[in-house]
Amino acid sequence: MTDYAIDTHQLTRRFGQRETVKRIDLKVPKREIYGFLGPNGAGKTTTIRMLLGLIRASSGDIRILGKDLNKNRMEILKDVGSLVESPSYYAHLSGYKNLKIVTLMHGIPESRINEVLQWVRLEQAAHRPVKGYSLGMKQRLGIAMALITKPKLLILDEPTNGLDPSGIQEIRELITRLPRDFDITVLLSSHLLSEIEQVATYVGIINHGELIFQGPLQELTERSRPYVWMEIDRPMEAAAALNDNGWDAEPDAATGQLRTSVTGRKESAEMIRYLVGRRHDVYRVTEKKKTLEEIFLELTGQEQSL
Amino acid sequence: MRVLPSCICLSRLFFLLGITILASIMAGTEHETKAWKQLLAMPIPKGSIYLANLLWIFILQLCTVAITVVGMCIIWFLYTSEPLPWKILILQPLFVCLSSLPMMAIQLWFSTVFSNQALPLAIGIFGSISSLFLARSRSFIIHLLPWSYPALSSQLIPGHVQWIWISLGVGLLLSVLGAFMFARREFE
Repeated sequence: MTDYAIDTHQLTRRFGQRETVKRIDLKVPKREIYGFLGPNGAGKTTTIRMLLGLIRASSGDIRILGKDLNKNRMEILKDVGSLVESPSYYAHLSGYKNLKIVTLMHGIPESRINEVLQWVRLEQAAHRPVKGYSLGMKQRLGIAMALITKPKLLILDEPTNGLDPSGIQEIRELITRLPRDFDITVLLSSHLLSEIEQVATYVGIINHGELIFQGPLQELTERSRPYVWMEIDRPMEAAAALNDNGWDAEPDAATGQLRTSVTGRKESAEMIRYLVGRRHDVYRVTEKKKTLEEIFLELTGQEQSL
Repeated sequence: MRVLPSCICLSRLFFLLGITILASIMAGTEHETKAWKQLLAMPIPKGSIYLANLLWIFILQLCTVAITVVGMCIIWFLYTSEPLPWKILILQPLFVCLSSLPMMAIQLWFSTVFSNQALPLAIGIFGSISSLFLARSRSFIIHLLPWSYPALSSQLIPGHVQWIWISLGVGLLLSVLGAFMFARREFE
């Protein structure tokens, strides 16, 4: 399929004995904003470094924009803009000169510089040395450096790291505009779901080097549908009885509760009547909706460690 | 006239120290600003980044040669009224520059490998100082060390021309090797 901007097959990276990235099949559809999520140390940055050819894959293939990374690295990199971890810049030079270095190396016209400076709102500070920039400005300069080459694919590793809320908001707005206005595919990594949730259309979750979820964001939000929880005596028996009656119900041994996906008002009433009729004591009935955060924690199995 | 040999020795030492420091500053800037990843993610052959740095060290060291020649002339005017020995004044530092190409390649390689520049600097300083003595050794094996080439290429030593050719050959070999290894390296 050439419809993927990034398409990896069984991508693996070993550091000594340890596998930091395990047989990942990353599929990033074109013109989407792909949120690449995972806790710290899950293998996000390692994967991104492999995508850029900064480190070699131990095994597996990478295809970017339909081309094999091993064979066409130069060609691919021409169409890829990247910001890996902290932005790189020469602190003693101005933002403008830093951008000029990039234009010289890529052989693109200098007029592009003012254009991208406008996008990231750095026109005012363009001629000041970068060492006087705030963290947010440096980050924005990093994004400008990634965008100046008119890439078809933009890879941003934790772009909002260390930014204040207004800075985050600005970057977010900029990123959401990219696919629409400039036909750019964006791969965005983060360890914060809330970050991804607001911009991404597609999500991949990586944990301990394994890709444990990949799909449209809706698919993930669907998992946050509400459940009705009942605190009840003999939950096992009650669940079995409900199941026999055609209702979806599941006992939760740990809390002594019963969980059902049936949330309609009428149906709930009916269920309770039925259970009471079978001489179950119903103590409490509550509706709970899982937040995406909870789903994320559940998927990454980090609930225990927190 | 008697000051000339010691001047030559001294300027050679500083020339080699200059290579060490230049290589360290060039690679150090990239290490400090964590710019290797940025640089290597550009559509440029990785090895050419190493070669471009090496070329700049060579060009800047040619400038050092020019400055040395001017300086020597001034010293000559101050201490003697004899006619200027142009040939030796110009060719001496130029030969040092050509014959230190292997050392440039080695220093640049070390400086790119270690993000802490203390080690490459130590190697460079040790190499520069030992180059003062290596050439005096009788052992051919020691003469083959890249650090002894600058001294062996001095016009005051018979057979210096062959050492210039040897250093250019070894220098090109080490440059290609360095570029190749640089391209294969994985940067943090």
